[in-house]
Amino acid sequence: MKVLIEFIGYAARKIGREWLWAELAEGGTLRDLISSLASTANASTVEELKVAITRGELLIAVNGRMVSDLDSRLNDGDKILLFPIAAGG
Amino acid sequence: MASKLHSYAGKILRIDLTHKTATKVDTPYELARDFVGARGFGAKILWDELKPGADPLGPENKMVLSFSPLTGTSAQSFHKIYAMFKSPLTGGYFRSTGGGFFAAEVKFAGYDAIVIEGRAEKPTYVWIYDNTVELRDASHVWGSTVDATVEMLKEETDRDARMLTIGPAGERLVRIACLVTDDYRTPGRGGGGAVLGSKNLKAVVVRGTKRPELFNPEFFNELVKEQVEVYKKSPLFEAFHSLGTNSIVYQFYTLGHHPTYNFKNTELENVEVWRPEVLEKYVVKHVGCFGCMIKCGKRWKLTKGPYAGLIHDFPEYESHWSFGSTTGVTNLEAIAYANMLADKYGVDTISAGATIAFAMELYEKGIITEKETDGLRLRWGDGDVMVELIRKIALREGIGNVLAEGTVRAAEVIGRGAEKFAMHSKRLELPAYDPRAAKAHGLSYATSNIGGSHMIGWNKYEILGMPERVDPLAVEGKGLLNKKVQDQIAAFEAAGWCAFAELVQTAGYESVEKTMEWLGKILYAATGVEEFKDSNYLWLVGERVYNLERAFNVREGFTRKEDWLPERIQKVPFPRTPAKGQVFELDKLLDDYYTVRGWDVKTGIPTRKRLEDLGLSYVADELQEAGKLA
Repeated sequence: MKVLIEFIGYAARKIGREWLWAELAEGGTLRDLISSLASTANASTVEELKVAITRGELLIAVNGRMVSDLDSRLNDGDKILLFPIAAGG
Repeated sequence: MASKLHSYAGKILRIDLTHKTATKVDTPYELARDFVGARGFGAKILWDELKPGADPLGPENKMVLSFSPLTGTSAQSFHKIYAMFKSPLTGGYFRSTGGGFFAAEVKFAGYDAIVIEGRAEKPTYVWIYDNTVELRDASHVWGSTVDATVEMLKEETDRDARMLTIGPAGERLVRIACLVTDDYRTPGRGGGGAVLGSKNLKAVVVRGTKRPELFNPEFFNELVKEQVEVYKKSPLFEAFHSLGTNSIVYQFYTLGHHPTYNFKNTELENVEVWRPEVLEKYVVKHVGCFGCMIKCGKRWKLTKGPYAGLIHDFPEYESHWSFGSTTGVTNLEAIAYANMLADKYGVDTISAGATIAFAMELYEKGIITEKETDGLRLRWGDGDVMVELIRKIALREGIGNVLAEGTVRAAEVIGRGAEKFAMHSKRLELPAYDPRAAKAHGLSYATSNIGGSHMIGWNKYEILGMPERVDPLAVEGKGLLNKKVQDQIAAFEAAGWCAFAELVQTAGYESVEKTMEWLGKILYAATGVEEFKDSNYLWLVGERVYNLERAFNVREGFTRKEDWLPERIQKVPFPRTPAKGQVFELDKLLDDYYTVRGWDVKTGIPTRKRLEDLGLSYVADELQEAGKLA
């Protein structure tokens, strides 16, 4: 299956691009998706992103809904947003 | 018990413009103990001193500018202006807040609050230098924009003076006119600019040389040190520092919180330009308020297009929305220019943009035509037309004279079903979150004592999932969640804190309770008021303030029917992900909320028991006497 991942701010700077389509096996999870970024960025960057996600510094939304469980399963065509925590006023 | 109030300035300055007097009275110990300061002081003074039915634009209205015992100290981000008054827009209680350096300067001059009443016979400004207070002629700056006023009045008082002023919009009693500081940190909402305009008061200019005297400086400094460390480790610190509230526009659009086209919420074309990587290219300087290391303010520079050459305070999240997403304008230069014009004319950016979006929808529907718009074509996305409308609103020119009344009164003038498109609650234009996509947050829009404001109950649980994640689309439990957030905000605003800073600190602690415990400790270390030590007491103060504000509105005749949101929010399903199909379940949410508040469910009026539990039996007595107690 294919999913679209969009990177914002700090995440975009780390990965070096604003979005990409990722190919995942059926039943793939958010964790699988983040790990698959190693084919685009270097391994230490991917580890850094994982740590930032764990610390709540980077947030994830799947189809506009916030998701914190990296074991959440994804579906074909899902749109994932990876963004640094920030707030409006 | 400490009988001396440490860290308070100890005086309240009362300015009677009718009688041309300035009187200083001691800050009462009971007022400080029961209401802490800032928003708490304003709620109490307005309850005690305004008669129901007072004309918001008459000399009988009062404006309370009040501050906190922590204002002007080294505690971070407690240096805000809180302005409370009866609103010419909503007809009810209002609290408006802004930052900058004005609040600390007033404290240094020796005042915990300034109460302004009456009406000057000619344009006037107030010049305060410590104990000296003068009412001076302002005829020469009457009619001028904010920047010109600031320059002129600094020149004739003190280059280091700070001020709160109004622009031409306030003078013309534009109901969406705001108060503006010398550095454009505006208490924007509710028509405070028109209140000062109605009093012929152009500005309050202040310079102070005193400093707050702390109860326990050693303990206080330890707590400030802790605060600085928590700020630094907070994941929100960098976000606010790098791009201010603008760092979240694009993401909130994706999460369904950020409305488009007057809440029609169809997809916004070209929304990619809202991405933070695009916006940050305009930033040339980080600016902040007194005593705040976050520095969430940004100066933007425009180098291309018809608005090139501008350097001004940036359009933050809300202004970006009001002049952008809800009008369909995605030209960033036009948005920045509109924001600057609103600041200099002294118009609330949120209500101005929302009112322009309302007019654009009326034009789209054929309810108004070029005959009524002075020949302008009010098409969605036209930045030049938007800029022209701001000028017309501020100067009450042509169609601007109608729109200057805000959406609800403008709809009454226009007729032909226009009221259906006025997106407001209690006649205050709704800001940049859609209630259908976050139910507790929306419930706060509906129940807020000041009308459709996002800051009375900014729901971090729903919007950010912080410190715990709550499903924003769920309805169950939202009465209690909304009450908790509203009471916490009322408590920390009584302490004069900035809502953004509270978010930074709570994200750092990962706990609201820890934040409130820290707040109690630092208030005690500053003031010596024993009660403040206990964070449970602060929660009580928050609920007390909230109920007192509610009682003010009840006294004015407000009931459950004013806790309302527009038909579009209640009945039209949200059209895009992730809230597709959602409507706002108003009645169910209100029943739940009133129940947890201990208010009468049928009328939404606080019960005697709840008021007495909060130490407000005198409020219950007065409401009962007026036949308004449930």
